[in-house]
Amino acid sequence: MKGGVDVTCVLALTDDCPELEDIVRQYSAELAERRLSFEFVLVLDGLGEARTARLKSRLPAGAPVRLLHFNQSFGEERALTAGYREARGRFVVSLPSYMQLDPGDVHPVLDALDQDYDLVAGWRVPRVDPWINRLQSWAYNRVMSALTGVQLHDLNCGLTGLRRAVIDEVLVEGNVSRFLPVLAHRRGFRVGEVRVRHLRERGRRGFFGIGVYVRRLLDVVALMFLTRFTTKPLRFFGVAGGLLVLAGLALCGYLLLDYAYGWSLQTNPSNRASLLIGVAAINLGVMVFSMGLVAEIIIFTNARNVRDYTVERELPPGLPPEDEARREAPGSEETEEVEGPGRRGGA
Amino acid sequence: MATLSVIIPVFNERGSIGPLLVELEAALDRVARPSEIVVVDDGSTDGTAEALERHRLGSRRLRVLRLRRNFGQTSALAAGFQAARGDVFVTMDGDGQNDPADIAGLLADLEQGYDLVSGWRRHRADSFLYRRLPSQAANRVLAEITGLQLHDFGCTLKAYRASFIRRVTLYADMHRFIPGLAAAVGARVGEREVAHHPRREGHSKYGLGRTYKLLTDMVVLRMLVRFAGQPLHYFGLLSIGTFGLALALTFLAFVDTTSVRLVNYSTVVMPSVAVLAFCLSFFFLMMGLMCELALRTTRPRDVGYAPMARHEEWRT
Repeated sequence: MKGGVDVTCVLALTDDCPELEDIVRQYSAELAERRLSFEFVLVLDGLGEARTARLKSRLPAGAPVRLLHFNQSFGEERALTAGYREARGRFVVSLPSYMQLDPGDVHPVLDALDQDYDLVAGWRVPRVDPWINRLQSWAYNRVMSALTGVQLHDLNCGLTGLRRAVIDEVLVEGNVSRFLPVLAHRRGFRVGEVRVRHLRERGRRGFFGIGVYVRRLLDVVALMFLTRFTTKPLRFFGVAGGLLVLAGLALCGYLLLDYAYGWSLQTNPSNRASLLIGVAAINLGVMVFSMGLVAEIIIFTNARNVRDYTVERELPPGLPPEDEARREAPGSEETEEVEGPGRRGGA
Repeated sequence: MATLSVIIPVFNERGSIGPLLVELEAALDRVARPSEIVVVDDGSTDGTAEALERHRLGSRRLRVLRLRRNFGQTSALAAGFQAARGDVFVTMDGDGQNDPADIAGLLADLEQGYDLVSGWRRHRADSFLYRRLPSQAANRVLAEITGLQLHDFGCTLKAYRASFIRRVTLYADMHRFIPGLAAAVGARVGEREVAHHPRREGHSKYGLGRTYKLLTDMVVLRMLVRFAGQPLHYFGLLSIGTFGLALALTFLAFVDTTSVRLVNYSTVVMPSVAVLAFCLSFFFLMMGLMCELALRTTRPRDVGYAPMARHEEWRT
């Protein structure tokens, strides 16, 4: 690859980052110690001219840094996604934007990547937060593990190491860079976890506020939908809509039978709220179902881009083709490629 | 002479895949054309990979593709189609129930001008209650939906023209519907009886649990086959139908208020059902327009619904 390096470090900068210089220097030292070539990709999330200038003044001279500027703020996750896309390294490591972790902990992450893991998430243990934050974080990660089926202890750790292939094959736009381990696992990549030391925590104490939870919840819903029903939306919409229609029909049917046979005291459907509810349920059900059909058409027309499998390796025949076969079909068997770019080595 | 790619998706077939490959290589030696075998290992965990590796090292034809995990038969087939280099593809099961000797017959049919020739396991060697009966029911429904008179949509042993199958979009359990989708774009689909052997080893990866998936998939297929190119027609028909119903109900509601017996009934019941129908009618129309929007913004070469045309050189 042109301008390729071993490791790209990606940082999403959403504020002034007073420690930027230390971060770049220290992680550079750690990577240089492993004799790896590296680069930094800093994504400036709509910081404005003054802060950008201040940030640049803090960068160590001669450091291999590339800057990505957003004209307005899109948030940390979108910034990280943009940084991942820009990365040129064989391995990509996301770093926290302040000295939250010990820079030496980049080694276990890279070690794990060396041993066949495709994505390695950091696990901050022990946490230095107040107990209330730890409790929330613990609960959040437990719920996510249960929902997604991927056993990870710390989805929000700023340190994640991944192979290029993960970015090429898994990364999608949106607020999901946090959930990259989950998406990668779904696509069959090997996902691991290493313990890292937690030095300090910045940010608020106590409860994060209702808005944070609501947004997290929506992200989770999007993620669930993304991982389970991307290619088969009607399996989701169809069942939901079908159940609604059935419920509505059952309710209306009951009213009709009641009217005919006079089971209860009040048999005239006009005076009963159940009628409206039943009708509304049918209406909603049909709508949900046809939403599913629309989604199916959209998927079908774009299916060329929805490749839902990933190839680990491709191996050619062990013996060369026979001469006769080669004469009969010139060129048909000669262009064997052992491994494409970004594929892992054979057995 | 057209080159042939035999594509075999396998998942945990350690015991069956070896003998099958031996038979297949023998059969391909008899077919007088250059050929390759593409085995797609769909994330097997039982040592199938090792069995494949042993064969690959001693073979001139066998290419092995390994997926990162188990993605299902459709994805494995799609990966195989992507990797195969022949002009003609044959797909078969990795469990040894299909007979490689049938390949020659399928190829002969392709030469007759078919784009797709599907195998028909007339004498299936499977349990009647759990496999054959549900399969027969599904085949009836599929024949009805697609308008294709095939007996056995589920048979993996099929032969395809590569130029055609590369155009068919294949994702999410759609492999059963390849013949249907093929017919939808105007491909010529044929059928030929093939042999079917009992399983040598291992167990079937299918069960009855997939019925509800099959049902929703069939609804989708019916829509795609008939309306993928013109979704507004599908939703438009629904819209007009419900609109008519709404008008009729509104009319009835007005008429009935003058009658004596149903006066109370009609003031609420009829209007509410009419409102339901009105809502749905407009909703369907909007859905149709949305589909058109999605469709018309896609480049034609990216979609799988454009009709196929046969090219013929005309010389006088």
